[in-house]
Parts: sequence; structure tokens; C-alpha cells
Amino acid sequence: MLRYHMQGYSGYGVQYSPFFDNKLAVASGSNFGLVGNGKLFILDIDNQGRMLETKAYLTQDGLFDIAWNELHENQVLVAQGDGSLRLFDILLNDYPIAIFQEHDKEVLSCNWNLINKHLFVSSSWDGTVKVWSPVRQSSITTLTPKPKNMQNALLPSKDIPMSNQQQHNSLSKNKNCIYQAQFSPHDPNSIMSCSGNSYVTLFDLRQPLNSNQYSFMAHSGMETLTCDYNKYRPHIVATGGVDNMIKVWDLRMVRKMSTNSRQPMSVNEISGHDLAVRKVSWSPHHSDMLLSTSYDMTCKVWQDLSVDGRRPTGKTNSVDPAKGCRFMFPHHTEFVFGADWSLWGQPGYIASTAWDGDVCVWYAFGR
Amino acid sequence: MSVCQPSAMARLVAQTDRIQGAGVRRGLAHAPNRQSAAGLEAQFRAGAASNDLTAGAAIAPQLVSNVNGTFASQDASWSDQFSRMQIRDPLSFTSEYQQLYKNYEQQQHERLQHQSQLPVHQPMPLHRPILATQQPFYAASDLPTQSHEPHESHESLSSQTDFFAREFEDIERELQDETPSTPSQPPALTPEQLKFRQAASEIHQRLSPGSQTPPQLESKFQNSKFLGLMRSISSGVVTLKSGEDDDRKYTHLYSPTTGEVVGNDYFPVPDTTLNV
Repeated sequence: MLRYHMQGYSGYGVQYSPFFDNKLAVASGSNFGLVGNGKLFILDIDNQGRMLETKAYLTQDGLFDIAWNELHENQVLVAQGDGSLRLFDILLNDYPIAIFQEHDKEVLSCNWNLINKHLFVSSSWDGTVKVWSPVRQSSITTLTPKPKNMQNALLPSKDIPMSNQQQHNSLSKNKNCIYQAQFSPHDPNSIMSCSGNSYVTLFDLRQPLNSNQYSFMAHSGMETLTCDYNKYRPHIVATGGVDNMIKVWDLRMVRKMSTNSRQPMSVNEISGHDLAVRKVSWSPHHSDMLLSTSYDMTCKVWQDLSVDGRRPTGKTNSVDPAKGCRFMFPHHTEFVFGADWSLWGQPGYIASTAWDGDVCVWYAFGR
Repeated sequence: MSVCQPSAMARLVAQTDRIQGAGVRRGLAHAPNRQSAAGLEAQFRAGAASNDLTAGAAIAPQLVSNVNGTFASQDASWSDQFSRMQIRDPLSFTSEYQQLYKNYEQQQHERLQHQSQLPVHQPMPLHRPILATQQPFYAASDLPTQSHEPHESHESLSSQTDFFAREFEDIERELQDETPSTPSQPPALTPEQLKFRQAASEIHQRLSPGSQTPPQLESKFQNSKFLGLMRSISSGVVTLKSGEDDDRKYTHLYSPTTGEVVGNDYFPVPDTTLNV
């Protein structure tokens, strides 16, 4: 395991460079990202297996996510707490080369389109998803997930069923917050987002604005914090939420819930974390492996037992004594926020970062 | 009463009492303390009957002799007749009420005496060295001694007034000096700070190690710096602080009691881009 400690900063997001096998970018914030500066770290892994800081950029506000430019090997994008996105060139010093300022609140995620590489997407606490081009200062389009209770104006407004339990107090807050938005790796016009109202929304950029989205409730009314497309099965997505669950959804298997509501089926449910799941990421090398990070201070690698590699098995991970967990990384000492699979070399290398300020690189398939 | 009062205000009150007491006890000015004053009063009351009798005996013959000699022959004495005289007032309170009121007055008197002695037994605070080294009130060198001499009373009264004025000025000065030395209260929290504190409290409450905490997480939670910070924020030890140039933007955490920055300090970064 390799480790680098970011003194005074808490890690939020980490991503391997798509161009260099030894380069990592880390988004971080001081004071656990609650208040104060942010810092972008560029880390290199040298031949002796050490992680070295080759560049760092101090920012006005905390950084919550990161995305390498898929067209330019030296450019990296960060999502900042003041509502802006900033593009840095790691060969230059001190300041970004572009600022994209439209969001009203914290930008919580950013993601580069893997197919149409001239686009990237951002999601924010202000309840919007924006699509950008790095060559334009203003966004190309703004997507707003429609609340489900507004779909039928004739019916009285009905909110998500809430709980009176104290542990569910936070349900009424952050409803509009869109924690993550992501381009599909299979379709350059598809975007998936997940939000504090528990809904996952799928957008199609080719459709007119009034009919370009489809939403479903993913985590029983509790916040959905993360989502990811499977890299090999276009119709399979995974989500993670405040109910400590990871759910795998088959977007083709839609069932009718009520007269005006249809919902895809959850083909697998994994309840292996003790606290909320902050990030899920499907493996770039295996169609049935996924990675998760959690507030329980662990990272886990899971095998999706609902599929055997070719066809659905009809099983869920509950049939396995280990619930499908193939590896657990327990060495972080605070909430684990960011993690990324390495695209390079032998499959199974993962970089993770947490609020303890550590960036760790570890191997998930070792015994 | 000594100067060993818990505060300058208490001493001021006690001295005010003393002034009033001095006025009441003008006739007993040389009484060393309350107890001796009470003894004198008791002695006075005890002797009153005989003195009255003697006084009555001394005065009555004069009256008798001056007015009419027949009175002396009709009754044994004027004083006996006077003492037997009863006044019946139809509007007077009942004897039961008078007895109750007498008891009440007695209790009040005892309570006042008790209260006036209480501050003497209270511990002297260590942060009041000025009062501790000050001379006792009546032991002041410039205190005029009270006298029964009529030609000295007016002069002594004016000098006494001056003395009291000086004493009050001293005490007021002490009070003003004392104000900055009292522990400073932390400033009131803004709505954002209150919201921040409430959020931290919720997080801390939810994630505090408890019976429902998984055992594998318990030690991690106990060593978590983030949860330690949430505990400090929820207890008010730490809160948000705005930047020096912009009051609306909170830039770091600090302790409102000590004023020290908690965690990372904030470094302003220009909001600019490189021209490339």
C-alpha cells in the first residue's frame, strides 16, 4: 500500500490520469471541507513506489470533486465550494486557466464525457445539472430534475414519505442537492444524476427540455449520494445512499408502480456498510465488480452476484456469507469520500482518499 | 462590620446600611458593636421603669405643687393614676392582631440582624487585593469621631459627609476597574453560526459511540478528529469566523472564548485566471 498525507487537508475526490499511469489528482478542503481553502494536489508515483507531490494549487474554497480532461493530458477540472468549476493546467503555476461560474451553491461533482470529449457535466447544491464545454465560459445547457410530486398538477402535492425518527431528521434537508451527475460511458447524450430527495434522474440531451428526463426513487426516500454506470452493461447502474445500501438497477426492467409511475427493478441490494455509502464505482476491467466508499471509514470491493458474467443469476448478494465483499480496505481513520480504479497495469489497483488527509493506493485482489 | 465584602457593590450596600445605622444609633455612637449596643438598649429598657418612677416621683410633686395641692390628697400619686388609665379606641386593632404584628416585627428585626452579619463570614475573593488591604471603615485616619458636644456636631457631620463621598468615589472607581477584569463573555452567535452549531450537534449526536454503534466502528469514532471537532462545535467551544475583508463569508474556525484559530488558517487567493 502506498500512502501520501495531505497535511491540513481532507480528501474529497481522487482520479487517475487517463494519460499517465503514475499520476493522480486529488481534490481536498481544509477543516474537513467545512470552511476555508481548498487544495488541488497532483501526485506522482515514482519508480521506488513513493507518492510525491509534484504540484499543488491553493483555492479560495473547498474542492469537492475532480475530473481529468479527456482531451488534454495536462488539464484537470475541479468542482469548488463557491459555485465555480476551475480548469487547471498542471504545467502552469498558481492559478487556473479557466473559471466556469454559474452555479449558485456548492458544486459537488464534475465528470468528463468519455465519448464526446468536448463536454463535461457538473451538479450542484442549487439543484441543477449543467453541461459545459471547456472552450465556452457559459454552460451549454442546464438540467433541472423535476420533483415527482409536481408531475400531476391535479393531484394534491404529496411529498416523499418521511419518518418521525430522530435519525431521519436530515431527510427534510438537502432535498434539492444533486450529489453527483455523470455522463454515460456508452451514450454521449445520456446523463444520470442522484439527489437528496432520493431520486435518480436520467437525462437525454437529444430530447426537448420538457420531456428529457426519467426519474425513480432509489433509496426509499433517503438521500442518494452516488451513482455510476456499469462500464460493460449499458443498462445496469449502481447507486449508494444514506440507508447504507448499494443497489444495482436494471434500467430495462421497468415495472408499473401506480397509474403514472414506473420504476426500474433493483436486481441486487448490498447491505455491507455500517454507515452511508458515499461513492460507488464500477470496475473498468470487470463487469461484475464494484467499489464503494463509506462514512464507516472503509472502502470495499464487491462482486455483483446477480450476474455470472453472461446472464442474470436471479440471486442477490445476501446469499453469500460475506455478502459478496471481496476486499475491505480498513486503513482510513475518517470518512472515506473518493476512490478510483486504476486504468493501468494489472487490474485491481485502487486509489482512495478520506477526511483523514490520506491518499492511499492499494490492491484489491490480493490475498 | 469589616471591609471583607464579596464585591465592591456588596460593600457599597453594607456601607449604606452602616450610614443608616449610624444615624439611628446617634445616641450610642461609642458603642463598639451591635451586641454592646443591644446590651445598652437592654440596660436602658431595664432601668426605664425605675428611672420613670424616679422621674415621675421627681416631676409629680412639682406638678402637684404647682397646680393644686388637692390632687395630692385625693389620690395616692399622679403616677399611679396615670398608669391605671386605659385608652379604649374603638378603631384599634384587636389584641390578637397586635400580638401577631409584634411577633412579625420581632422576626424582621432578628432577620435584619442576621443578614447584616452574613457577609462577614463569606470568603474573600482572591481577585480583590485592594479591598483586602484597605483600612477598616471606621478605622480610617480621617474619620471624625462622633461627639455629643453640640458645637462640634455640625462640623463633624459635614466632614462625615465628605468622608462618605470619598468612600463612594473609591468604590465606584473599584467597580470601574473591576469591569475589564471579569471574564469576557463570548459574543452572541449569528444565525449562520447557530445553524452550524445545530448541524454539528446533530452529527455528533448521531455518530457518538453508543449501544447501537458497531464494535468495529467504536474505536474509530473515539479517535475521529472530525467527531471531536463536531463535539467542540456543538458545545460552543468552536464556531465559524468570517474573514477580515468580508464579514459575510466565513473562512475559518475559531474559539470564541480564547479567540484562537482552530484548524487551518485561511489564506486569501485572488480570483483570477492565467492568460494563456
